[in-house]
Amino acid sequence: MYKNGERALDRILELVAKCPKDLQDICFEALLTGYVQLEIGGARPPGSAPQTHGQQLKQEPPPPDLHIPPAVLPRFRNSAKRLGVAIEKLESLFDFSVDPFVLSPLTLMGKNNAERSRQVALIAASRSYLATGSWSADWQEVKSLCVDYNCYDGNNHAVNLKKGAATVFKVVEPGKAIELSTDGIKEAEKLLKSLTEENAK
Amino acid sequence: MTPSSDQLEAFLERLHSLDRDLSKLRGAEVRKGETLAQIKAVSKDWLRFSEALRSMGAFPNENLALVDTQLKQLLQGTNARTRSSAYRRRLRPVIASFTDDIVVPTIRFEGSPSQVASRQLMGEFVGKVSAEEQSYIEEAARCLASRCNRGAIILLWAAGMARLHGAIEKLGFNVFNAALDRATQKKGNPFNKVSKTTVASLPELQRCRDFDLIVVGMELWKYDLQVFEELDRLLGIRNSAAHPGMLRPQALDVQQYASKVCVCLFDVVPI
Repeated sequence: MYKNGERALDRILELVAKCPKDLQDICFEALLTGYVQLEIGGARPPGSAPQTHGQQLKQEPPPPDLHIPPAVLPRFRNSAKRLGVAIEKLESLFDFSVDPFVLSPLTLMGKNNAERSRQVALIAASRSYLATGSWSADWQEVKSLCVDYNCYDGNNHAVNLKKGAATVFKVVEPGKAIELSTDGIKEAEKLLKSLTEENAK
Repeated sequence: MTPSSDQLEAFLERLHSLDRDLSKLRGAEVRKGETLAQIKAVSKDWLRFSEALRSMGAFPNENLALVDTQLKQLLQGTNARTRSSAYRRRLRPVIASFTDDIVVPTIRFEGSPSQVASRQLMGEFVGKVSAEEQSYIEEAARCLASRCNRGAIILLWAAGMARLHGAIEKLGFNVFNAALDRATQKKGNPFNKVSKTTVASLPELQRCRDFDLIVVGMELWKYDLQVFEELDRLLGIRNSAAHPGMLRPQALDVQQYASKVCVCLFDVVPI
């Protein structure tokens, strides 16, 4: 480890010297962190693929103006491509200052509490897909978002969601994750696209 | 145990029901044993909930204080000849503020990103782990919920090692020793890094290096070099998490670590 440390440090200092003075500290820290992570190998984000013999797997770095964590960037890129929207617009639906990322405040178009609750479940499932790859919404997350979007109806919450069980959700059981059906995934992507477009206006 | 928002909503429903029963008495003294028992049960249940909610730290203690005071007085009232109107006077402010002060903050706490991530981590291992392994997974989930991401990684790896130890014990130490011999006789990386040893008991197995176990695992469970390399990488991350350094895993990194441990260890090595 650190066999070429001296040479790497010289190169880093060379690069740092090219930066504006007020950014040199940050630049040095970033480059040194990058070098150390490369050296120890194990410090790469767990989601990234392993480096195997003769197989140098490249992980595209995020563009400087994006805040999407590298671990989920490929999923965001693919989703943006599939939805036909710019990744920056898709990014704007989420707040990455929180770990793990959450939804930014959105305007839901549903006619009533039931429809808005189902939309909340679809968006929560989309967030879960982008974060973990699974199209399922956490029951408590949906409940909490429904409170935030003012569509939580304590006595009828489960009933409201169950109304969509046959079409968009595989099964709705209070307290358990809500998995989306194939139609549900299409519906969620459609909603994500419309929210992206709405957000961009 | 911390009450869920569903339990708190059910509790509020009980308060409503009690209030309805008391209203039927039109202010008269409560003599019916059933109603008195209901009042006592509601008050005692709340005192249990209150203690757990306080430790959860999801909302200010003042929110709990109001309900605590009123319901304590409600319980004390059962020792004297108290009118239903007096009970209702205590219940009214509790019912009025319960949703906003107690239920909603609990719902928000349960739906917070770290709690969601923690539940998703647990969900990853459902039906795949033994009771012993489950205890490590639960602790890892608690670490993730408390944003102790490095701790979560260490405990996830500990769960994986518990699986390997359990599986080796089940196969027998002779089988393990034979596999270890075969592995050390092989040339080249990673076999030439395995330490030669003989294991005759669980404590001896626990002293073996994790690296040796995942190499010998290729002999025992026939997983290939790619799975081994993935496990070696996961071990590297675990070691980075357990030692001072610049690794700063995020919640998403922990979740992905959990998925990899699940796929490469729990799906490959049988209980």
